[in-house]
Amino acid sequence: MLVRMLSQIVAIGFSVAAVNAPAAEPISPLPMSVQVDREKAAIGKMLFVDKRLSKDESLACVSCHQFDRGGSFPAQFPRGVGGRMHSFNSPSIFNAAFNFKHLWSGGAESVEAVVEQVVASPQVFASSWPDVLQRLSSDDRLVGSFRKAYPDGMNARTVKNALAEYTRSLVTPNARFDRYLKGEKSAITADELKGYELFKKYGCVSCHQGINVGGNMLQTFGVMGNYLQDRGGVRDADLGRYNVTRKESDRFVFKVPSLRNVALTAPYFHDGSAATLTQAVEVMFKYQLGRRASEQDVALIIKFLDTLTGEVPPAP
Amino acid sequence: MNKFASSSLRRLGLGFALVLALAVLGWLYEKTQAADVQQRAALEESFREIHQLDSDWNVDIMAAKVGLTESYDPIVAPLSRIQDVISRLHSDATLTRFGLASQLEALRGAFKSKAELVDEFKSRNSILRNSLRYLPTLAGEAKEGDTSLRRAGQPRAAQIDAVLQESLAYALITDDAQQSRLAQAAGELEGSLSDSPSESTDSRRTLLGHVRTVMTQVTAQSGLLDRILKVPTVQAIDAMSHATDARFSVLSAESEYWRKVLAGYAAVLLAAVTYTGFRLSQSYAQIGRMNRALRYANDGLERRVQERTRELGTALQSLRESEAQLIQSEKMSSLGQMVAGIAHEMNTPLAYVRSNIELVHDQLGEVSDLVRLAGAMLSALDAEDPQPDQLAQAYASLSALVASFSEYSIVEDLSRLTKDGVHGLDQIREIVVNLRNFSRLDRSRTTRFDVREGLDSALSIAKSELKRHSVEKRYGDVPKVFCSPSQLNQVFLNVIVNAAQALPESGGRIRVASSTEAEQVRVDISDDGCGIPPELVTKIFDPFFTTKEIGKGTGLGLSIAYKIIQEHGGRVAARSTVGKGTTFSIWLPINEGSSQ
Repeated sequence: MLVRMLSQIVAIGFSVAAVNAPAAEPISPLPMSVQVDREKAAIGKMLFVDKRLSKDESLACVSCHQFDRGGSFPAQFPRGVGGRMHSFNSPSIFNAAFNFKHLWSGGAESVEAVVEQVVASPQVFASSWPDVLQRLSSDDRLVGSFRKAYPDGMNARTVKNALAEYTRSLVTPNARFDRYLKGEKSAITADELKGYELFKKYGCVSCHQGINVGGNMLQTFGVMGNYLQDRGGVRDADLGRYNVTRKESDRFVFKVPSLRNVALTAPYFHDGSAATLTQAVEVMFKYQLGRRASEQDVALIIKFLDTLTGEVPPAP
Repeated sequence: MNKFASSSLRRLGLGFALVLALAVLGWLYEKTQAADVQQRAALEESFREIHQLDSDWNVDIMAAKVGLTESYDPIVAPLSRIQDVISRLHSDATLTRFGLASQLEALRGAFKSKAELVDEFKSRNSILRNSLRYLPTLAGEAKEGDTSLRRAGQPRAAQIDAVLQESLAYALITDDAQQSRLAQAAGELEGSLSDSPSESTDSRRTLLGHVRTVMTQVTAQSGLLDRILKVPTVQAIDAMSHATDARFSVLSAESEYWRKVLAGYAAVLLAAVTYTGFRLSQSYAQIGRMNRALRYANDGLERRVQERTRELGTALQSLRESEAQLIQSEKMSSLGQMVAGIAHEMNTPLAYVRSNIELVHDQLGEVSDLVRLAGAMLSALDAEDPQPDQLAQAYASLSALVASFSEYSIVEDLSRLTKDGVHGLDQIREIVVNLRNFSRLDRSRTTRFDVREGLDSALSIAKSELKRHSVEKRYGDVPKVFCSPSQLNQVFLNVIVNAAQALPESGGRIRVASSTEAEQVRVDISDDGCGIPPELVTKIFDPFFTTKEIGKGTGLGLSIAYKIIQEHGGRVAARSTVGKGTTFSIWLPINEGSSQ
């Protein structure tokens, strides 16, 4: 018991020492790659473009997560099976490995859980596991790959795991800002650096921080004003995390999205209501920070956001 | 006979009793091991790890609270690491065996609620920190930008300063007294809004908005941090730790009990062994008698063994002889195969040596004419009374013959014919020498031999087989090896002939190479012929295996080659690709003192 206490005291001492080191930047660079099981990720890659996941074989994952659009969809809402409109804008799947929860309302603790929801969702694949597995099982090559990679072969769990393993491999390293963080001071221009200073000074960084510049916390959309009421036509989807927890305090709460590759992922927000990055930044100033910024400062911040675009992985 | 049976029965019973005694011993030992020290250490290590991660987490939450770290990654990461350890515990059967699954679920639940509170903390902390950061700027703007301020004078500026001060103080000292002071200051500033023109109050309204944010967030956050630290994670870990401790001490007590039983059992066994020893010494005399009987029986047995050994020796001897015969006969058989070719090889030079000699013989008539005419000329000149007519005739005949000699270049012809004849004879001699070298009946392995000579000799013997094919020699410098040259020649010939037979009628290529490889001489003989199917490659060294038609091959060649190489301390291997060709590689040891 005494030893345990002592070890704890020493450990706390170390932690405090680490914390007392010169203040680090609130944003840290992405690693060049993420360790995944290559064999499983290769299966996930095939499944990512496999339309047999959807009820009428019209859609695949890649339909709404386009690689040349930062892993998202270039319209307010994507359409699921039968042209049915989704109630959320497609979030980027890039760097998902570094998000603490998934989906806009943080309703999935893992990528596997996202796949589980997406397969059954009437707004997306509108299918079911028995149907999906039946369609996939006619593909001898796929079934063979599964048998090689997983002892229990192809089933709902392994299909989800393979897709998740592939998704986890999708990182966008080497953004100019990451290179700046790693010490290459000339990687960003003076204006972009000024934009970063403003990003910190205005407090954007309070939520958009960490390795993913967001993606590690939840926040109410409309801290200093009710954006959704001002936008009008509040829908069920706008209730955000409330739909997951049914807690009153979670009304209008969403996962803070990652700002990596944000220049590629227009339109913005869970409802795709901001068509441009300028609009999005302005909404953030008004409703989240409760302050105004000059047009010039907004432009500089957007220049900084441009430096967060990394190397997009090869399309599947 | 009866006595023998009963003693074997008794031996069986004794063996069974021994096995039983040992099994009981093993079972008792197993019982003493119930409290697995390693398992216990692993569990405690996991508990300690969770404890550590949890307290690190708390430190990081405090660091985020006071603004030492701006990134939330450090307070997001611990949860998944703790969950990993819990999953590890979950898959450990020990906890389930101890009936602690529900306690583990409680632990998981505690961390889940802690994580939810931390999520709330992050959201609130971000908002609070932004408003706190913005307040001084806002206060400045409110004081400067408010046009009505100049009319109102100092009191309004003091109100703004007070609100700012109380807000910052409340963020540091969160108690009811400070809260009411802030509420009062905010109330006073709000009251000032009503008596100002609305367009002049914008910045004050914004200021008030942020002040209210600070008020609600600080209040909420202080309670939140308390709740985070009070989530009974530590208690849950300690409870599990205590429960496993208790279970392990019960198990230890049980082990202790079984250890005593084991000691008792061991004592009983020892006594039994001592008793058996005593009985054994008692029956020693009997054993002595039996021993003598045994020795007698043994002597008989030894005699029989000696006889058998002799028989076996004879058998082995004859086997060795027949093996030597087999090798010899295979050599003769492969030579037999070669005879036709060799005969042809010799026939060609023989034929032209013969025709050359015949031509020389024909020409000899002219030469004897020359000798005769020259003699007649000489005798005409030597006569005491030379006759001019005779002399002129002799001169004319001789000069005509000499002219025809030079005209038909008979001397050159003769010289060429004899030279060609000698060349042909050399060729024949070469074949004969090779044949003799090849078939030398040396059985000892005392000769230093250059394998390249052997290869050349085998190639020349197999010349008739190789006519249509090109032979490429790639001889690397190799030391001589101690061996039986004729046996090696036999191997080389066999492999080369096999290679030639694998090549198509239209012609192919054979490559013969030598090299030195790690104290060994390596010989490669490759062809680009039809190759050997993989299922047959493993069989080619088997005796009597052949793909040739019946009567064309004995099927012994390669097996004898294998045997010869083996006896030389070397090895032989075949590598083949169907359609591409086959390579036989032979490795021979370079014996000590053999290198030059």
